[in-house]
Amino acid sequence: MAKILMINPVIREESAPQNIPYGLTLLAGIALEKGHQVQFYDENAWRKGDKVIAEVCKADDWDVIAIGGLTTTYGSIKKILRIVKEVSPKSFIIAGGGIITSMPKEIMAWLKDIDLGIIGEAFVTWPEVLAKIDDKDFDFSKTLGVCYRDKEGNPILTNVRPNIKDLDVLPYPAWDLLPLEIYFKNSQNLLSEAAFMAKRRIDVMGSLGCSLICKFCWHLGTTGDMLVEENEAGIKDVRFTYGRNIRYFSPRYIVDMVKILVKKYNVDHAYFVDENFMTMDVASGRTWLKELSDLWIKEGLQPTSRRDGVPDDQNKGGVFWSGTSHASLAQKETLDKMYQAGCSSLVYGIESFDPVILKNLGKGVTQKHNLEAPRICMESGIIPVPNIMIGFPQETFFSIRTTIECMIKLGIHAKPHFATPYPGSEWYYTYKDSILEQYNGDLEAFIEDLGDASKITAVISHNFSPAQLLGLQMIVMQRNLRLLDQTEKQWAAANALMKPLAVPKGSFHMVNKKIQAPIEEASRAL
Amino acid sequence: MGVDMAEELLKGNFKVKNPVKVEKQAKSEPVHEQLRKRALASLGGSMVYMERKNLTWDGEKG
Ligand code: B12
Repeated sequence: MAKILMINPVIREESAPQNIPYGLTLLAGIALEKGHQVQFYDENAWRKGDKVIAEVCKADDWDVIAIGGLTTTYGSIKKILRIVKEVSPKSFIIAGGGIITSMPKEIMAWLKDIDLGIIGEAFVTWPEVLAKIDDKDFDFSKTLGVCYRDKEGNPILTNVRPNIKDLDVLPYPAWDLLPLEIYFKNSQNLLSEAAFMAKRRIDVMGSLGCSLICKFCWHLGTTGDMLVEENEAGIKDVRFTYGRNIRYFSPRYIVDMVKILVKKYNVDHAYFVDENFMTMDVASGRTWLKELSDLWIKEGLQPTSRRDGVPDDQNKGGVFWSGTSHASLAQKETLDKMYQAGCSSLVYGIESFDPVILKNLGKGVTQKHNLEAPRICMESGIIPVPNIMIGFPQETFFSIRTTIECMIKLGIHAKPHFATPYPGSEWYYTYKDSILEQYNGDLEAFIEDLGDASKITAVISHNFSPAQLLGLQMIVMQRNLRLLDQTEKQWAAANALMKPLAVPKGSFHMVNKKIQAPIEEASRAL
Repeated sequence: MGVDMAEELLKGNFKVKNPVKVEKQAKSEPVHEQLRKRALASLGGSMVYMERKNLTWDGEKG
């Protein structure tokens, strides 16, 4: 059986590690179940640097070294692969996740040491690839969902791998392979009183995908949103669509998993990484979240503060949980049940309060929804976490003013994110030419520049420049309408003379239609 | 030595008549107050804060 080293690269270098590498640890779980020899090195948690990475690579004769993550791990992966190649040149290097799925050709061209990319959902592809490696069969031309190299080293994509039908067949993440105490040390966050008191918080996953088509968002090519088709030159490449395969775990799977987390690691807070609870709930006919909440209580996970109706700072046990909601899809009745069961906060991607921006966003919300939803959530007892963004293509002084006015109305304090075209998103493909222009044609420089959207990388606003956006961010944070008025007085007339930095264009990679990618017909063991 | 210098806001070579003391953080400051202060001091990116009470707006009536 193959000897596999899995490496989790660094994400968010500037802050302490808070989120376990869910995808990688699920894949580790699958590899363990198949009987492979697996070691996991979590550089994101340890942050020990190059020397230790070299030692890890020397620790054994690795048949496979696997690495992956979201696009923003590019810099870390690049650095790690350089060390890997030097120290363990014979290992077969596999990359997966958002970084390579959003732009397989580019990543394979920039990171020449990658032997094979796993594109999109890896639950079936990963064990299939490992089995082939065990058989010393390195011909991947018939394997779905990969990007292999031909004899000349050119990257070739195979057809898309269908999603699995039933998520409940998945093993639990291989938590034991992670230095969990490092993550637990950073359990506390400021999103709610319950999370503020958390001592042993961990990520859990309840669903995959989201039915909405927000232009800034991406679904990792793992949720029915990706096709592989030939471009004009007859070369296969990835295309992203409005198609979705909505899948959620059964409440039984989730609750049993959390019970194990409590028993083994004394976990007190479950942070759901799901893209959006509410679209799942809608897909289930409004039963999923209620069933989950009921089972949470029935199986003894309900925090005592919720059971006894006392403030959360008097809680004596149980597991709080948090996740992501949606302004037009959340219902009071469901929120009340979730609160009872221990839900402490829900992120609402409010983004903006401007009707024009909202209409163009693909989120299916109006200003009214955005005004009502956080209050309804607060009334249920669950703390809403309303995210705000600026720098939308259609952003104007008027839209910024609307957003500030509504933030004041609702008592929202935020230093907004900048609208950022992350690879995979509709924005990325729509503005790719403008991005390239802003980075002097160097796409890799843009990728290396991406972090979290609290700094400006590529501007996609049709009206504002980076300097203006930086100023507007502070004005929104201060909710200072007077400064906004002064700025507008001085700038607005000049705007007519400005050449926009961002101009939208169509792209092969983005299909603005609901074309669903394949999904297996029936549930089956992996 | 009289007053504990560490707790004084005014530092000098004589004792003022009405010493100004740093108000010690009451140990029992409620969790939501501690959280509010820390949250407002670290706004940015996904870190946002919504007032729990004293909202200026309670929804459009009618
Ligand atoms: C948890 C999470 C995080 C965590 C980190 C998680 C981690 N350790 O990797 C934190 C909070 C740090 C984070 C930060 C950000 N995130 Co985030 N995050 C998520 C989230 C919610 C869940 C990820 C997850 O665990 N999914 C479940 C697992 C099963 O999926 P997966 O990891 O993709 O793994 C599957 C495949 O991709 C593949 N795979 C993954 N890795 C590997 C490796 C190998 C070797 C192989 C073979 C396969 C493989 O196999 C798995 C099974 O199919 C997703 C949305 C979502 N629900 O997926 C966004 C998401 C990944 N994040 C995204 C973004 C944009 C960000 C931010 C930039 C947001 C921001 N504005 O600040 C920041 C990055 C900040 C920075 N400085 O780098 C985007 C991805 C964009 C991109 N092009 O990569 C997503 C998709 C959100 C979205 N819908 O747009 N994020």
